[in-house]
Amino acid sequence: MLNLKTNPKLVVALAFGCVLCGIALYGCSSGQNPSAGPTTAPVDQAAAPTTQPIFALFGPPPQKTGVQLWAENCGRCHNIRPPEEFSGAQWDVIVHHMRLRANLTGEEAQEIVKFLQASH
Amino acid sequence: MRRILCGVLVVVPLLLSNAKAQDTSQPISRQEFDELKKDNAQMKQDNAEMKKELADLKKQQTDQATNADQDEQYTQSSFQAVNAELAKDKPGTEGLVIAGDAAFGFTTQRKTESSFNADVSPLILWQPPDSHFLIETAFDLGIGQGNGPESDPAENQNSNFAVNLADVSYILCDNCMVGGGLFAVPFGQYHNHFDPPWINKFPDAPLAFGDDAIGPTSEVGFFTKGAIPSGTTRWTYDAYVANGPNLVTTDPATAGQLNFNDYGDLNNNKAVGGRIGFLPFPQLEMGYSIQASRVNPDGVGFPNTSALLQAVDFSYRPVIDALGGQFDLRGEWIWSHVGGATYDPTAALGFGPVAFTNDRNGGYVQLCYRPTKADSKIIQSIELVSRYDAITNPLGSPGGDHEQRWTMGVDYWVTPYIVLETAYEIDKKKVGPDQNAFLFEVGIGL
Repeated sequence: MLNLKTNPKLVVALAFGCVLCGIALYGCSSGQNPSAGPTTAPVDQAAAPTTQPIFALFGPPPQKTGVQLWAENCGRCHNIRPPEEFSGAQWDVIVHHMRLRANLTGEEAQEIVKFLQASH
Repeated sequence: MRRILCGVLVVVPLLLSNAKAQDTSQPISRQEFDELKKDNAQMKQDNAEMKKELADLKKQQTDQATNADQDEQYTQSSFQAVNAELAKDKPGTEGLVIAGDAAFGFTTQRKTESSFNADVSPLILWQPPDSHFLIETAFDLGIGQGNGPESDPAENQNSNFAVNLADVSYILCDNCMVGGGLFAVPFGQYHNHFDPPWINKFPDAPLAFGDDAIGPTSEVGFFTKGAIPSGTTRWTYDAYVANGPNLVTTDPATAGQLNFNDYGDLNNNKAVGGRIGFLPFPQLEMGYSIQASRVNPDGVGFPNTSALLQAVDFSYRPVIDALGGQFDLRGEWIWSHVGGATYDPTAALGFGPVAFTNDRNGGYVQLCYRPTKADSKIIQSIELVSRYDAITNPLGSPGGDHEQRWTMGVDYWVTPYIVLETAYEIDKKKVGPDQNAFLFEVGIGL
């Protein structure tokens, strides 16, 4: 019988094993190139929906521009830093680091890098 | 007849006048006529040649202008290509970044001497040409912040050096990264997100995350992490296996506590843990963390002892127009349970035998407000900060106490990443003396 107090490691390992299996099935089988840019076309501002529901648990994620993702994800923990503070090449490395810290998807990270590099 | 006579009278004088005019010029000889004809032909030829030369000159000028444009374009493109090549080889602009943070400050606290302190934490990021990889290294150089393992009391230098990060990560797919090394443990959010001085907003760390932390900071092991968007929400996950904390069994002052700063392992058992985060909308994140491990040293006769750590956390950072600014609400709480054991059972170490229920908990809640909608830039740069933090260690354990603090402060943002922080702490302890404190710090993000 699984008991959190008597056998905590097994419970934790099983729980995260299940989560990781789900992630592997969902994420890594989606056919997306891990290093390539976003698989979707750049967001057309005019075509993008102007209103999004505040909370929708299911369905495709809303397409967001690099500046939106930059403001939402960076600004959640700290003041956002101006794009001109670092070069485009430096932003590439820094956003990679922040992808690890803030658990960003590859597509989100790519959009943010593109925005920061274009803002110079 | 009359008409003919009139015609003769008109024509004869005209012929006579014409003959008289011809008489005024010299007659042209055949030779002169040929020379004139020759000169005329020569002039026509010269004229044609000059026209041709003029056309050639014009063509040449046009060609030269075109060539000059082409040369300029070629030079510019070559220059740009050379610059791009040079930029690639220039340190710090391609694949290598040195960032981090720094802080210096002053603390005056009851029952202790006031002191200045300083801390520099460089972060070196290296992304090899294969951008799937990222190598991170961070270390901490501190003065006046407690006795670190490298301090030398004989020289009266209260300095410390600690490596906080030394890991390699690899992008497995859009939603998953894996890595290994010495990494920031995703147990709660504080050490993973909030502990740099310009992000923390307070001159010191919450009790449960400071010097006597009851949760992990960095660990040596393997990790995986990523995010899964779902509708307008987002799930994040972290999982790791690491050496884990070590149970202190022989120190009379700290026996029963978990040592999270020793990255080695005392046994063959490894810690497993992770965190699940949920973001219903971008400004709000909630998370649950858990870690389990056996923590007793092997081979010294100490009974097997397990530790189970759990934590919940949240952060919410909305801009509320009606209230004229940005709010920052964060909170985290940790619970730890370490299996029962008797410390110094034979009293050989002079403080035992000691046995107690080894359950600890602690955390913080903080609320900050910055009037970002104010008209004055000075007012916009001020942030009011408040925090409640507490820690509960078993009273029957070595060093056991219940401590709680209320902190109020004012920060001033010089730039988005340079902040002047002031705070006053009201401290309440159940066992030791209350240690109210005034703190000042300059925090810089590099």
